[in-house]
Amino acid sequence: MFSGLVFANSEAENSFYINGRPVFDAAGFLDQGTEEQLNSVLQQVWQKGGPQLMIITLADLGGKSIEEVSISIADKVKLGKKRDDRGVILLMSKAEKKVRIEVGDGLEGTLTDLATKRIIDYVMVPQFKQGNFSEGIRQGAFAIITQAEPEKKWLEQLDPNLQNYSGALVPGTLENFIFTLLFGLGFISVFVWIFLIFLFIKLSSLNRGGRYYSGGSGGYYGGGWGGSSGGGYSGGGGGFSGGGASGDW
Amino acid sequence: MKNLIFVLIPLMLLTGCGIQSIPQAMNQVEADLAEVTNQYKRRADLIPNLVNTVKGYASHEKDTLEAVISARAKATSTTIDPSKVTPQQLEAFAQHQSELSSALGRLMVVTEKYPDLKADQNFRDLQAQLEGTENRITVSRKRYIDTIKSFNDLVTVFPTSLTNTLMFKYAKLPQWSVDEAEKAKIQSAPEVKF
Repeated sequence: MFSGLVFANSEAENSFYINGRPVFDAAGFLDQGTEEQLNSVLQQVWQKGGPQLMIITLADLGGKSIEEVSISIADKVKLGKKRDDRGVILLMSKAEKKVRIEVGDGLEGTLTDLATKRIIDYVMVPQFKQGNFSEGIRQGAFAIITQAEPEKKWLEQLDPNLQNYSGALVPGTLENFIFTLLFGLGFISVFVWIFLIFLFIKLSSLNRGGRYYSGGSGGYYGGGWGGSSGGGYSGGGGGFSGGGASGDW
Repeated sequence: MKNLIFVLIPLMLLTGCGIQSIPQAMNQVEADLAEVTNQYKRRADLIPNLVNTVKGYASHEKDTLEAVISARAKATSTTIDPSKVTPQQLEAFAQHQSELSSALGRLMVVTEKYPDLKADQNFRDLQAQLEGTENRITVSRKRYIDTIKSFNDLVTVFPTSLTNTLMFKYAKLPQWSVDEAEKAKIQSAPEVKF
């Protein structure tokens, strides 16, 4: 179902890379121009210190409710910085015709359940009902950024001549391989320890006076590796509690 | 035997076999339970306003409204302290919240008969807030269930179970149960359309 979405474990953050870009349009709702603009705008807003919005469109929800899918993405992506928590996910599903705005903990004061419901009902759905998906998503995204921090005027700050953004592509297979390798090494260390414990039990019973074994790999998940190289749009450990709103068209 | 202890304990300390993770997991369980009760309280706080709004349009639906009011009173009177809660208290709490969910569900079905009520902006706003809160309850409950499982894994699975037996002696925690009635409700929740 999530073809193209790559799940990777990095050291502290559990970052989630969608081609390193803010927009993942599997359902094909966006036209080229709008997608490039949104990628650029969202990246710049984030880099300037604004909220971290990710737009994800799926062909279908795989039998789950949009809330279930949304929170499971949020838990993996962890948009927004840890303890800052200003991440937002705009999720849409083509088959079920559902849309949801999932709000991070840090934005619950401004992007309330009510405010997000209104953005969906009054800004986005009217466009969707007329088949204007690109425009509806764009207006919705801008409404979200504006409503999140109205006093910051993130959109107005940006240069109207937006350059094309090209994010760093993450080689999924390489990361999966490294993760599996390190996990495997960590696993082996468990068996090494068990073996050593039995060895020492045996040695102790022979009255040799226990020897003290030091060192070790520490932990069973043989550590991840550092986050992606610069240019990627990735989460920073932000938290989500299920706030936001859903709608359909 | 003494030699064994001197060897095993440093070994456990070095690999951190549960010395840190077990108390941490217990703390997480309590924190997640506090979050669950938090979200239930949030729902309870929305209800008086909802009842008054509905009364304005559907005053004849006395029985349904009173069922909600009394279910809410019952639910809010059952408070729990996450660090000291007993399985019985937890079960009672879950039961009362479940009854409140049912009463609310019936109220929402009844409101379908009143188009003026459904069009009322205040009612629609309350609906949005209620839906948001129900989702938060679901999310917090799921996390609580996952945290309990993680804790139970630590105390029952080797090697951290060994540390638990030697040091903490925690019992396995009962899982948050969803009774049959609520399972059925979750699977066929009345959908409120605008």
